[in-house]
Amino acid sequence: MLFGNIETLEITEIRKRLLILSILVLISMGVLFIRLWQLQISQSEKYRTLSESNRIRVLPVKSPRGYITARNGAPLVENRPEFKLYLIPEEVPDVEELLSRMEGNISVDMELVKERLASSRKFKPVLVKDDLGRNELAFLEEHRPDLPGTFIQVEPVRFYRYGPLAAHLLGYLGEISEKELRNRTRDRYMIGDYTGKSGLEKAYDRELRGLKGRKFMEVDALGRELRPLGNIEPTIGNIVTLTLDLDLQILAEDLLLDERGAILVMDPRDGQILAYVSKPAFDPNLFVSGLRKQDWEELSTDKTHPLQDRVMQGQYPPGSVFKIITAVAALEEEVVNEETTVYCPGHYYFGKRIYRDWKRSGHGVVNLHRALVESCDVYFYQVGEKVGVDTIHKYAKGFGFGKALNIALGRGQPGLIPSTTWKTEVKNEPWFPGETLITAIGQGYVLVTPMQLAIMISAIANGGTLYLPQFVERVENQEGRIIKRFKPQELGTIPATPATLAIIRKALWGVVNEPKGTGKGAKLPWVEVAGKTGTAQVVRYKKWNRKQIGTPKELLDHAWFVSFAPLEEPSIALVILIENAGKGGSRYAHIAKKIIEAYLSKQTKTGVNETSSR
Amino acid sequence: MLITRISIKDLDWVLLALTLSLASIGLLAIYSATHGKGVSSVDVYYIRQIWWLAIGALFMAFTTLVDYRTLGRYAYVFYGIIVLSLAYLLLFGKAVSGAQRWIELGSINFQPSELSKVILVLALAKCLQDKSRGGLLGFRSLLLPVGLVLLPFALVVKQPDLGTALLLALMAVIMVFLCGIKRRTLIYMLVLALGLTLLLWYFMEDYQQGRVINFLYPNADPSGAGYQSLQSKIAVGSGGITGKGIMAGTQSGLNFLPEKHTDFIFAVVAEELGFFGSSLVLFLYLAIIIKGLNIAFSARDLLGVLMAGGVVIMLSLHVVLNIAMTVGMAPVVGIPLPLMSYGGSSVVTTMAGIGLLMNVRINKS
Repeated sequence: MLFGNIETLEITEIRKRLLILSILVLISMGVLFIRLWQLQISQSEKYRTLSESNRIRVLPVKSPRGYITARNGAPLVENRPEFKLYLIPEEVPDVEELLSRMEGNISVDMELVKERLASSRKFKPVLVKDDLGRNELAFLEEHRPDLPGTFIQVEPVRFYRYGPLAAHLLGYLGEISEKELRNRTRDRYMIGDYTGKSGLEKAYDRELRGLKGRKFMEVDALGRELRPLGNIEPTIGNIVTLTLDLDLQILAEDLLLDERGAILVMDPRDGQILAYVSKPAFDPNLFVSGLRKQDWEELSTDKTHPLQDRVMQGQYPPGSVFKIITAVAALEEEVVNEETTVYCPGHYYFGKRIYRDWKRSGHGVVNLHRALVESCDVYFYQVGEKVGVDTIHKYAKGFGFGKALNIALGRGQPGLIPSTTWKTEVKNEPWFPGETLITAIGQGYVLVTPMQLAIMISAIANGGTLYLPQFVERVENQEGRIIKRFKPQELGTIPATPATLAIIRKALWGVVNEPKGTGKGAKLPWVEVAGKTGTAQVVRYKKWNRKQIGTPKELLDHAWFVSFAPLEEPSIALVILIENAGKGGSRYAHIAKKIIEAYLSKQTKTGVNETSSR
Repeated sequence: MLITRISIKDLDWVLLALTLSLASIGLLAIYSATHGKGVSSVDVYYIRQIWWLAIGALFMAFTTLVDYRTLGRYAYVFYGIIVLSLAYLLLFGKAVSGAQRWIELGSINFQPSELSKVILVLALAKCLQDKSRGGLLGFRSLLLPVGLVLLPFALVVKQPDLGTALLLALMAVIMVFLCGIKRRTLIYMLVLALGLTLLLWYFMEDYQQGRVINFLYPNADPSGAGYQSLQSKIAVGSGGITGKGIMAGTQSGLNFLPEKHTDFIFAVVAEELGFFGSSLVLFLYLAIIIKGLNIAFSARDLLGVLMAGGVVIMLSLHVVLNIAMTVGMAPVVGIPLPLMSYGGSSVVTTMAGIGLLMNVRINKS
């Protein structure tokens, strides 16, 4: 009770101060009220005049985006003029009638125009039709006197010269979103602007964007444009020159035909990307001035996922390509040496299960070299068992697998390299010894991206250095002054001694050049090609009936081929992935042959220039 | 009791109607300020605002129905959560136009610094109630309240969002005065405040110093930093008595006015609806504030007085500073106009505050 009294006492005290607060609030509101009176009634004339003399309207002028070119300077992405038809409703005697006169000659979306008209501001031009065609332009030119209040404006619009070529690398544009707008107010972006949404268009947006110009227009109080008062020209964006070899890119795209998959070609000496193919692709030209709903639906519901970048985002079991890692682990840990042999009867009993070799009749007595050359599964079952999954895990990590690659182009998928701790932590199950066997041949839980394989095979080619993929050679401004030049960046060194590497490289040479090699299709008479095939099962632990007729396409095996050449001084490394090929990687070795042939023959022709220009 | 049992007649319908009126005028102004640029994404603003108002209503229901003494008991828990999220923002937040103010929850962006305002009212009310048991606050009993303010203040300054930080400090100072303070302590505090102000100036970013200088000499740079202030004054003044009509404002329509749908929403109303519109808005706010003061006056205990008083202080400061900024009497500091400015965090915070007012009223006896 006593306590209650103190509080009550205090409350009476506090009420006095509340009164003071009330008076303060009233005074400030009163001041604001007087100020409003002053501005809006006493001085309203003055401000009205000021508002009317706010005659200069500053209009932004779109800056053309910079070009993206291939390594030889050939433009891949440029701009083309787009013709847009506008009308100013107040200057058209009868809008309905005018639109109906255009109908038939110009394909106008009447609904959309009416919507825009309804929400337009006075004397502001309303867009009637963008991207006018040749015939539409001719019609408008011809009937110009009969179409008062309309005008045509030319704006630069993005143009992807080769359509879907390298679409996932180049990326596409889209209207800036509310969130992006908020995140990048410093970049002078405005509502309705287009910005890079994916790929290099996004990664190098700051370089490509350019600087908007400004047009000063004299306007009246209604906002009607009276006359131009001058302008500041926009600055065109910088030129981004890629490391991409256009001829090689075109060839690789053609070689993939209509298959789903990816081809990635890298220079193993510095990590420069020479070709970057992910199929199916999309045409970025569809996006340049707003993707039509119908196109978007088609793209986003397509079961083959044309928008997905398979090179960086696709995760697949590597199949036998992974035997390279198991082999390195086994040699480094001295579980085997070059002489160690294993007898392969075509299968291997382990636990209560039988593990098959892809060759049912078996490979006979094989050592490491033959096991890699002929891609003997039984050899790697036994070696893998001895090496252990955690050691394989350690070596695979050393090659960069199981970790997301974070580059300007975006964050790649990490893939997955299993280990005993991973299994208990993620799956909450113990590791079964049998799983080590299939891990050793790149099946089971193992997942990699084509990009990771390219980095790996490049490292094996160049003597052990893991390079960060490099896409952009330089950025220069329109005057040709180089703003940035990019240098190769190393990710690390592979965990393999020169002796181990020599054994592996010799075996990879054998894959292509020995009579029993699985990659003979890549053999070239005038240059030593090395490689490794892989066939990745899509469905895990499936019994040996995969080849039976009637398997749905999406359950068919993926085919891999990784390769590099020339053996002694490699200057090209590549990865080929065919999704759901249903055939082994050996059936696609010829693609590698053609790419290597094209690249190396060009290099010998222009060899001196090519090397000195680096 | 955790949830207050109330009947329909216990609700403050006038307060609700005032809230709704202001929100509706705000929606109209947002629509007018953002519509018709020929771009689809623009029209999204007012729809998003409607959603935020709905979410705000949920928060309001919560702060109305859970007895304020219960809320007071958990005030430090809320406080802890909001300070943690501010700290999280500093450590991991993405910079948005040079400042880390947003937390992303899926597609929703949320500004914890906004919500910290109403939570500070709660926590401070609780803390001051505990400390002032014997009467006026002395130096020692002020230590905890000052600490309570300084923590979020520092975190918000670091974002950097000086406007919000200063608002937090100002709110706290007035709340402390409301609670009562010893004269000697008052003098010490004034000296300390002066020192802190000088220190703050030293730590301000260039653009913030520029804003203050620009406030003192607005005509120095009419095209640069003084531009917003001048254009806003022109918008308000040229509205005249009856305004230029909805969606016919030239200042906002021709993009002379920046941030027109957020911090300068009042200028849009003043330009398009004239003196009638702007003074109506002013009176609606005044009515809410007077209702709030009334509720504080008749509260049953110190906690209730401080909570209701704190909400009134929060609302008044926002309204007065925002409108003063719009009519060129205060620097452009990025303080939203409650219920009207586009922005979910501010709407939710304000509605939670109004819920608190109703809460104190319902539980007055």
